Order: sequence, then C-alpha cells, then structure tokens
Amino acid sequence: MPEFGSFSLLLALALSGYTLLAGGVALRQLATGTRGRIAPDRLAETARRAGIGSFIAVACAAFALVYAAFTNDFSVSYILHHSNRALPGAYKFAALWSGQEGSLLLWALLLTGYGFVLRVRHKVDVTLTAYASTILAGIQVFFLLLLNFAAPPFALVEGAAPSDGFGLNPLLQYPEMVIHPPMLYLGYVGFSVPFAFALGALMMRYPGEKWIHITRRWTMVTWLFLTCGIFLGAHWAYSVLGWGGYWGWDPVENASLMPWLTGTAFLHSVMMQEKRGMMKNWNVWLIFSTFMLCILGTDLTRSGLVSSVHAFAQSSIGNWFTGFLVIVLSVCLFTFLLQRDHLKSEHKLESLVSRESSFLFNNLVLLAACFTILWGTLFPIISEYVQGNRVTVGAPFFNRVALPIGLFLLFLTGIGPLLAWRSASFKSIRKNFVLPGAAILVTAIVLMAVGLRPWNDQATFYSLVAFSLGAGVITAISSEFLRGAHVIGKHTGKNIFASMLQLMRRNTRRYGGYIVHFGVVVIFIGIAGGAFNQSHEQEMNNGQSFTIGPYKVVCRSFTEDSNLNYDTEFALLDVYRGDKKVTQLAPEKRFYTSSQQPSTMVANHSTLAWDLYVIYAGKNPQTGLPIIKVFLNPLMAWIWIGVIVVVIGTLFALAPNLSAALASNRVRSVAGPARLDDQREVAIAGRSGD
Amino acid sequence: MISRRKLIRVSQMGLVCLVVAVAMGATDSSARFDKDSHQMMCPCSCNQLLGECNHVGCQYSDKMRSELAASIARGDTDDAIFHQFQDEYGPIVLASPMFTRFNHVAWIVPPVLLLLGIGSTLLIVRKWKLRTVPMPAEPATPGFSAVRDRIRRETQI
Repeated sequence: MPEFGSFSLLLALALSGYTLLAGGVALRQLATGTRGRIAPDRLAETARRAGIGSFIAVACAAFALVYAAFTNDFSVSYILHHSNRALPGAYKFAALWSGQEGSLLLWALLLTGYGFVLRVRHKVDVTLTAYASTILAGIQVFFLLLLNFAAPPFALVEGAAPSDGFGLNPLLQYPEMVIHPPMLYLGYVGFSVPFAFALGALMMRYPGEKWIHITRRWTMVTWLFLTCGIFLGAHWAYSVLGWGGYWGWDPVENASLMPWLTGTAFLHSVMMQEKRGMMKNWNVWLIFSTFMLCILGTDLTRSGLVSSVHAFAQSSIGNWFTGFLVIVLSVCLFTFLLQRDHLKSEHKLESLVSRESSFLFNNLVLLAACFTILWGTLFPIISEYVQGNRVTVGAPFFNRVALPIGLFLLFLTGIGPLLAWRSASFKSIRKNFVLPGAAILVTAIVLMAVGLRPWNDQATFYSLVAFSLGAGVITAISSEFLRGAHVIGKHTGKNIFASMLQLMRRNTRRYGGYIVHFGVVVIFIGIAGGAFNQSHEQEMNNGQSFTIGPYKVVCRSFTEDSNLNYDTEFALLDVYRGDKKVTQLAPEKRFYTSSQQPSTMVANHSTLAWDLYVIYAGKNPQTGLPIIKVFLNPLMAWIWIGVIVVVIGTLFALAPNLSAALASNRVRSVAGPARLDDQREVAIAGRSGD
Repeated sequence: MISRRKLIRVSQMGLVCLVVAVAMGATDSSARFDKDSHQMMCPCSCNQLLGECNHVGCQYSDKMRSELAASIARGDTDDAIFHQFQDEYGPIVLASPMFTRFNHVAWIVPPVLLLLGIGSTLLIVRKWKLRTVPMPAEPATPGFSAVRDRIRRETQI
C-alpha cells in the first residue's frame, strides 16, 4: 500500500504539471491568436481532464494512508509516529491530518477536490474557468512537490517494522479534532479558488463583474468553513487544554484569524464592486492578500520561526513556503502592474456619510486588526533582530491593542446598514440612529445601576462598551427587519412574522448578512462575559465541599481506572444550586500508554448564564488527595450560540432569492392589474438598501 | 474673578476625579496577584500565562507563583516585580513587551497605522467628493416619483 500511495502522489504531480503547462500554452495561444499542432481549445480540454485526474490520484494516496493507519502498517514512518493499535477508529482516520506530512496530504486532497468541482462545472464560463484551473494547477504542483520530495507521507522506517506505534498526541484524541482540522483546511484551501478566479480574471482582462458573481458562493462557503474551523478550534482548546480559556493568541490561532479578517473585508467590499463598480484594485488585492496570508500563516507556524503550542506541526519546510510566497507575490504584482488600467473605478465616493464609506471604514478596521495580529505575531522575530533578544507578545498585548479595534468594528456593524448608498441625509441619519443610540445609552446606564463599575478595571470597561454597543446593533438590525416587514405586511395582509419571512426570502443575501451580524453581536456578548470570570482551587477529600458563585461543589469520591489506550484518575463531584442537585461532574486526568503523555478531560456544566468548568489538576503527592480547580465563566455559551447564528445566517445568505418576478405574477393573478404599483413597491422594499 | 458657583463646580469635579483615581488604584493583594500572574508567562514551554499554567508537577509555575505572592506581600511595585522576574527568567517571561526603548514600537505601530489609515481615508473621500461631477437629473418616469415617495413615507418608523 505505501508503494501505491507514493505512486499516486507522483502521478498526481505529473497530471497537475500537465494541467499547468498545457493549460498555460492553450491560454497563451487563445490570447495571442496563435495555433500549434493541437487546437488550443482541445489542448485546454486535455488540461482540464488531467486536472480532474489529479484529484483521483491524490484521493488514492489519501486512501492509502488511511488504509495503512487502519491496518496498523507501522512500516510507514508517519503511521508509526501518529497511531498505535489501541487507538480508536475515528482517531486512526484523524491520523491523516495529525502530523506534518498527513496534513499536507489533506491540503493537497482538498485543493484538488476544489479543483475537481471547478473543472467539472467549467461550463459556467469556459475561458475564465480554464484560467482559474491553470492557476490552481500551479498551486497543486507546489503542494505535490512538497509531498513527493520534502515531506513524503509514505516514507518507510529503516529495518524491521515495530510491532506497535507511538500513538497519537493525547491532545488530539478528542471528538472535535476529527472535524476541526478538515474544517480549517477547507477554509484555508478554499480561498485558493476565489484567488485563482481573481488572478485569472485580471490576466484575461475579464469584462464586467461576472467573475465576482461566480466566486461569491465559493468565497462565502470558504469563509463559513474557516469560521467553523476557528471556533471548533477554540472550543477544542476550551474543552481539552484545561486552562479555562478558549483563545490564547497562539501564532497558530493568529494564523487562522488573519485570512479570516481579510476574507471578511473582501466579502463586504466586493458588494461595492457589484453595486457601484468601485474598489476594484482594493478587492483584487484583498483576495490576493487573503490567499497569501493562508500561505504565510502556514509558513510561520511550520517553519518554527515563531514558537507555538502546536509544536507537532513544526519542521524544516518553511523555506519551501517562503519561496512559494515570493513566487505568488511576484506573479500577483506583475499581473496587477500589467493590467491595472482594467481595474478603474466606475464611480467615486460621493459622501463621507454613506454605505460605501461605512464599507471602506469596515475594511480599514478589519485590515488594522489583521495587521495588529500579524505585527504581534512577528514582533518577537523583529525584536530578536533589532535588540538581540526575543520578547514574548502574548494575550495581554493582543487584548490591549486588538480589543478596542474589535469594539470599533462592532460599532461599524451597527451603523453601516443604517446608511444609504451614495449619500445619507442628516435627517435620515437622525431618524435611523435615535433608537440604536438610545439602546446604547439605556443599556450602559442600566448596567452601571445594577453594579457594573467600568472605572474599576479595563476589562469591566470593555465589557460595558461591548454590552452597550451590542444592544445598539441588535436594535439597529431589528428595526431594519421590522421596517421592511411592516411594508410587506401592509400590502399583503400577513402577520409580522410571515411578512418578515417573506422579506428575508426576497433578499436572502442582505437579511442573511444581518443574521450574521446578529451572531457576531452574540459572540461579542459572550466574550465580554469573560471580564467576570471567577476561579477556585482546592484539595478535596470525600465529602468536602466549596462554593463558587451560585454553585456548591461536593466531592463524592475519587478513583483510578485503566484501559488499553490510557490510565485515568478522576473525581466524582456533585453540584448543588441551593438545596437542589443540578448535576454530577467527573473531571479526569488521563495518562496515555503509547505516547507516555498526560491529558486533561474537563468536566463542564454549561448554562446560558455561566459555565461551571471543572479540572482535575492532579493528586497532591503528600496527601494523595485530588486537586480540583474550578472556573465560573459567565456567558460562555453565548459564544457558541453566536457561532451557530453566524452559520445559519451564512447558509441563509447562500440560499437563492425568492424570485420577485414569480411573486409578482402570483399576486397579479390573485389581485389583478390594479395592484401593480403595490407589487412594485413591495418588491422595491425587499430589495432596497442591499 | 471666579464666581463661587464655578469654584464649587470645579471642586466637585476634582473630588470626582480623586474618587475615580483612588477607586482605580485600589486593589487588594489577591487582585494584584491575579493581575500580575496574567502579565507573565510560565517558562516551562507550555506557552501559557503564569496564572493559567495547570501542568501537574510543573517545575516553574508553583515556584514563580510563590515568589510573586512574596513580592506582593513585601509591597514591591509591579515594575520592580516584572524587572526581578525578567532578570531571573529572561525577557520571554513577560507576556507582553515592557515600555522600554525599542519595545515602544510594538505598542505604537498598530494604533498609529489605524489612525493614519482613517486620516488617509477621510482625505481620499474628501478629494473624490470634490472631484465628483454632479449627476444629471434622472429622466422623468411617470408615476415613479409618487411610488418612491410613498415607499419612503411608509418605511419610516
């Protein structure tokens, strides 16, 4: 099987190389009008088919690696280091992305998979897809070169194969690790597609904005995957690392957040290009930057240039990524300089107070956040170069610098949708901002009245600002929904909920976007709750108890157990609220036999108000009693609920609009021609302000 | 001459500022321990803040936390504590760069760039706005203005 895998990878490289070369030659011939022995369209077709073939070859290689994991083939070095006989099946499958070589193979699999879909759906626009396919083939060649020569996943161990493997990193033996990395990679890799389309459109001087329509769904789906990947990672960190938090500003976390921020900026500013033919240069560079940040993030974290808790991913392949990054940047810059006259704006901003300006500021703030994170991630290297010593840039730096930027972004989330395209009049601003402004003020006053003291510390101050702004944004979003629903309801006679549903279906993108904004507010509220975390640590004997917040925690017993994969120590804790027992928690400490590494299994009782997060910290060697650490984390569930709302909003925005024309026809057939004006009015109400 | 009313107003404001300043500075030792332990890293390569390192048998965190508690009990200032830890464990022990020489750059660059960006954007928009040619009036469509006005009226809250 290892031979089959290696051969598949070599075949995939050959096919991708052919797609790149033949596709490049065909497109050159088409552009210049020259003709070789084979007609350019036929040559391009062979390139497309070779691209499809490359996916099948990489899929075979991935299958071979998973097969090796399931059959305990420890002659394969990668399997030896990332699996063992006692490892449960799901984690054997997850071994595919648990190490350097496997995760690169997953990257190549997803990349060729995206390429497969793109090449199969080539009839959307044959020429543009041919360009995008050729560019994707170039990226494929890079990853397949890595897999064939720098980080081969099918390398064999020297001598006789050991009878058992070293096992999977215990931190990765958690259900979310089966889904978090693929999600994150789907996001990272997915940005290759809009990048390829943008570069292709620029190369061929694609007329109009159709390429944006083609790539819009790609970008949104990719963004959704990246969002899910980031938050699944945060949830994994919260559930497994056992330090009570979910985001540590580790370089690997930062690497995933940077392309997410530029991707978010792109999703917003691209609307200006669609609606007003503006910001074409900006959009092209946003998507170029997003793709390059994906590569840079991988470079930073895998090269060992910056230290990270994700040490399993470090190796010497950084130079390959640096080289690739330089090539990508050069190609983008060269193409841009050659074709920049094609990107002239059709309109200019007419007012500082307009929807366009709010998008511009939103982009600016997102990019500032991205730069801050990049700067903080790279500063230890810069400091070492300038001062001769490496400093740490950790959570206190990012919290202090990035949080105000985040709150400014939350503020823009609220005001952007309230501004009209082109120019908003003072009267309309005053009218639209009264309610959200009042909501902000009232929330702030009420929170201070119930005991929030923003002058006590910085965290409380930021929390108060986040809660107040959140209330303002929710009011702004709600008033947008209600206003539209009111118009629909007036003309159709439907109740407010039915009208709202119809309104949303008329413009899924706009109202899906509002739902996403609502989800973002909920996430911010959850994050703001972090300012009021409490913790308590205690050595506990049977029957002993302590109180934290509204909960009383009583130790019922503590014991040990073992199975083939690990030995475990755990405590049974009864949790009371008042006199009522609400749950029993069993925090664990595991010691994995193969890898000889410990792992924490957190026990968590989650409610809307707070999480009771319990860690078995270990046993006191002197007394033999377990040390229990408990965190009371307010509003933590809101973060995960907010993410679900974001996912729902994005899926809604991806859904096609209910055809206004169909609706008009239906109404016309019922009401007759006399109501035509009303139908137009309703249709406009659903569309206006998009 | 300052009127009596103004003098009282100024005194009131001064009193409020004093109370706020005292309230901001007033922290007990456990709150200070919590704050300072979240400004330092555990050097055991776990990449966690000192206050959050949860490794059983960690060779550093327990010892460092004891040292920190002792320093706070002695009445050392935060600066003195951070310098002491930096001397003992190296500059990587601080979770964020101190405000010294080149480290200032770390703190200054992001907000300065954001402000520059906002300023440039304002300038660009102003420049574009000045250059914008007024749009010719839209050709009159029978009934359209009336429909538009009605929509505006009805969508007002």
